[in-house]
Amino acid sequence: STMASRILACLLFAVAIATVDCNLEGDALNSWKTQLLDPNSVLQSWDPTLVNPCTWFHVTCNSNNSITRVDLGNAGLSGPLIPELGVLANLQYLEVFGNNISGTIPTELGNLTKLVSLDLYHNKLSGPIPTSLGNLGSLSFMRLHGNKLTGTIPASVINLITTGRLRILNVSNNLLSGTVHRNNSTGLRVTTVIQDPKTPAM
Amino acid sequence: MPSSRQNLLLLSSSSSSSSSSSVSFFILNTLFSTLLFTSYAAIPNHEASVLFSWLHPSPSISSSFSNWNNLDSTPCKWTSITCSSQGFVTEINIQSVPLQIPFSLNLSSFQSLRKLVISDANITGTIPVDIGDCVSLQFIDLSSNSLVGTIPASIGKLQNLEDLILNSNQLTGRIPVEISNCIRLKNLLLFDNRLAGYIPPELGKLSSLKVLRAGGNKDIIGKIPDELGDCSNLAVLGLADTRISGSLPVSLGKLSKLQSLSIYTTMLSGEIPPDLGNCSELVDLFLYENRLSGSIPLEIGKLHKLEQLLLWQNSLVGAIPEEIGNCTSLKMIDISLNSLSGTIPVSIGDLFQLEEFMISDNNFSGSIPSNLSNATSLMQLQLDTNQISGLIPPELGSLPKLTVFFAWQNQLEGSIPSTLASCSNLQALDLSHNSLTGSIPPGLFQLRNLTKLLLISNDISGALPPEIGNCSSLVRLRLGNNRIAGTIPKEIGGLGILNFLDLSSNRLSGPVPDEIGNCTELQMIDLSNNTLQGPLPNSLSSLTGLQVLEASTNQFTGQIPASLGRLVSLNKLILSRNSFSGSIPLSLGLSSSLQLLDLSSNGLTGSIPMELGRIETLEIALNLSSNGLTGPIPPQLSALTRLSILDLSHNKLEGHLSPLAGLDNLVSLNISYNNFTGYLPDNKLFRQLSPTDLAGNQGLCSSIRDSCFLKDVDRAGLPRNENDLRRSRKLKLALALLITLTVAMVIMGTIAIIRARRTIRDDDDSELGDSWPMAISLHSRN
Repeated sequence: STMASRILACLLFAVAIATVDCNLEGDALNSWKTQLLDPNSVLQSWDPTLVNPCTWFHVTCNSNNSITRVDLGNAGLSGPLIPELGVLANLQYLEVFGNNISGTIPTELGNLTKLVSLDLYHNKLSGPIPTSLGNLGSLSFMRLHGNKLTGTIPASVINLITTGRLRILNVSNNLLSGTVHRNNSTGLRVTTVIQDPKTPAM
Repeated sequence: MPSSRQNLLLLSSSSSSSSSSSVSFFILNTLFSTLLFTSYAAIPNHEASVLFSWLHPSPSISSSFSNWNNLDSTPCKWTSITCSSQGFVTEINIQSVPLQIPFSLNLSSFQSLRKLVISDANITGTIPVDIGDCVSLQFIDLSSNSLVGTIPASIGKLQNLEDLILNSNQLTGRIPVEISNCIRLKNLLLFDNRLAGYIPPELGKLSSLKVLRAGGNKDIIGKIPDELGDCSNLAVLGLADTRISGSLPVSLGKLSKLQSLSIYTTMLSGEIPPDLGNCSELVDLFLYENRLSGSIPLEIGKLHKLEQLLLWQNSLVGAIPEEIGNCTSLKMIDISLNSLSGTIPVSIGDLFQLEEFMISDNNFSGSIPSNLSNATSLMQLQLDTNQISGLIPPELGSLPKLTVFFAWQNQLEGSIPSTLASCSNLQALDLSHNSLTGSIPPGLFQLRNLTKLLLISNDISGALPPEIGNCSSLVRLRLGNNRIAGTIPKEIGGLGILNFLDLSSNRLSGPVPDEIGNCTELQMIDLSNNTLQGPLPNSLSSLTGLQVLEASTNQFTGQIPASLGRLVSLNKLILSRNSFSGSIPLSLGLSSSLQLLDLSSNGLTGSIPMELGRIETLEIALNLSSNGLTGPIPPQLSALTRLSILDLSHNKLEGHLSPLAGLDNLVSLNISYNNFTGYLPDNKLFRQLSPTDLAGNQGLCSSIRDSCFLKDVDRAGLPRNENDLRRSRKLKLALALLITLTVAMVIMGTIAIIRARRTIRDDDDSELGDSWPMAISLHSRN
């Protein structure tokens, strides 16, 4: 009977964690909302007083009330991406393309192990592509083109093409440098444009 | 005093004997006394020049300090400067002026300075060590600047110091032990800096200390010193938002004048000492967001002046002591997010000033006491996420000021008391996730201020009353997952500011009234899982803000209104599992925001409109499965490059799959049970598709395996049909014949050649030799 009560305690604890965790996801998104400029009131429904974010528009949850999709493409948003986005453990789609998002890509996005699609293209992101993005084992699509990203494409990210599920990697129109050794795997369409950093005229 | 010293010198000079020496003495004397006179006269100038040279670089000097003239002998007429009757500076008072200079004022020059205020002045740099030489200082306010560095220990020399206000800077380092030497210190305000280290126990020596606020210093660590209990005059103790740990000292109970104890958002642990009950003047007890354990001591009941009790987010256990009913000044109780248990004490009803009673997220059980209605000042009652059972007392209806009543996620039963309709100020009522029965009291909808009504997941029955239209303030209405029957009243059109309507999973029947088009602020409609009938009203197209329309699993009939295409904000349209007929309206192609379109499991006919290909935003899913759709996949669908999920299964679609070849974003594709033909596009997605996604299509072939792979039993594991078998047999026969013919020809050819060679060898006289067979082979080379 002690075993049973222990199991029950664990289950209750897990449920407690789960309910608090759902709020953790909502808290993360709300924290992001407070740092964004939203002239089109796209995030108007993001109400932190609700028990979970699953009735917020542009948010999709699974049956356990955990966020699986954030769809904010072409929403007129400006401001940063924040590290708290890394707590969305079940996130599969992060669609933030076509906005005025600035700042760097937080390394914490590498914690989103269920992420299938990372679409941050056509924004004003700067800084490097974090090596932690190489941890995104489920990632099929990474589109970061049309930003001001600098540095090189991490080898860990290139590896996602061969050892992971990455099908489309688009980093064109950035300020990236370095060289990439193309591994000629059939059936994959990889668009990479390496731009050397501008050198002053001699 | 200068004049008396002068007199003494003159007297000494006149006492000399010889006349010649007395003359020289007199000259020396005059010189000396003139020097002294001028030097004394120069001391006030010294303060002025120090002040001027300090403030001179500031951009504000000409605007706010225009009368600071370098040529003045004293600064006593200058703005922000006050002097004594002797002409020495006693007060420097600069507030809310952007000085933007460093704090490089030579303070030791100001021996009479009593009050130094440079606040909200954007001064930088460190607090000079020579502040300790400014022995007359009683009042220092350097708050709200950008000062860095440490608090100088020399401050301990200031025996007259009563107020040390250094908050809202970027000061670092420890609180200097030497501050405990300032025995007259009354107000020590150090909050919102970057101070670190332990709180010196020596502060316990400060028997005059009234206010100690050191919160907002994230690196202050360690235990609250027991010695603070010796600060017998302490009225305010603030250490919030620090990394203070350990338990609250029992000695705090000695602080008979303590009014405000604010230690929240720290690592404070241990139990709340019962001795706190001796702090009879206590008004505010803020101990939230800590790691406190144990139970709420019953001695809390001794705190007759206590107004705010905030203990939320700790690990407190046990019951709320009955004695809390003695804290008759209580206005706010928030003990949410703990592990408290037991029942709500009846004595809470004695708290006639109580405005907020928040006990959410605990393990409270038993029923809501009807006495709670005696707490007539109650505005917010939050009992959610507990194990409270029993009935909702009808007496709660007599709470005149009740604005928020949350009791969701409990085990409440019985019906919602109709008396709640008397709470005329009620704004938000959430009783979701309980076992409530009966019908919704119509009176609730008469409440003029009700903005949120949530009754999700109960056992509520009956019908939606026509009175629903009176609740014109309603913004959010969620009644999902109940047994509500009957029709949706047309009066629903009266909900002019309704934003969110959830009637899902009930037993509603009949049509959706046209009047729903009058709810012009609607952004979300969820009518799914009911037995609603009839067509979808065209009036839905006037809901210009509508983002989500979920009407699946009903008995809707007729055509999907073409007017839905006009909804520019429509993001998700889910009409699956109904009996919609006719074709998919072309106008849906006009949708500029549609991300999810699910029309599956209906009786839709006709072909897939090519206009659907224009919906650039369609990225989440397109589900048209289980309909009667015919015709090919329009090539325009190839424009849906962002689409993740596509389900066209169980239709009568035909033709090629080539429009799907470029859909790079697809992770899920189901085209089974159609009449598709031709070759599968050769890409990673199609190669990974499982047979179930492709089954039931005749003539679908794979170019890689160079076979109509659905006929390959070994790999697909599917049974062949009769036609396939016959065709393969025919092929095999034809192949066999061809092979036999070729073999026969080869044999005959070889025989002919051998015969020809033999005749040539027999004729020795012939001069031609082997040439003519070669001629034949030469001809036949091309």
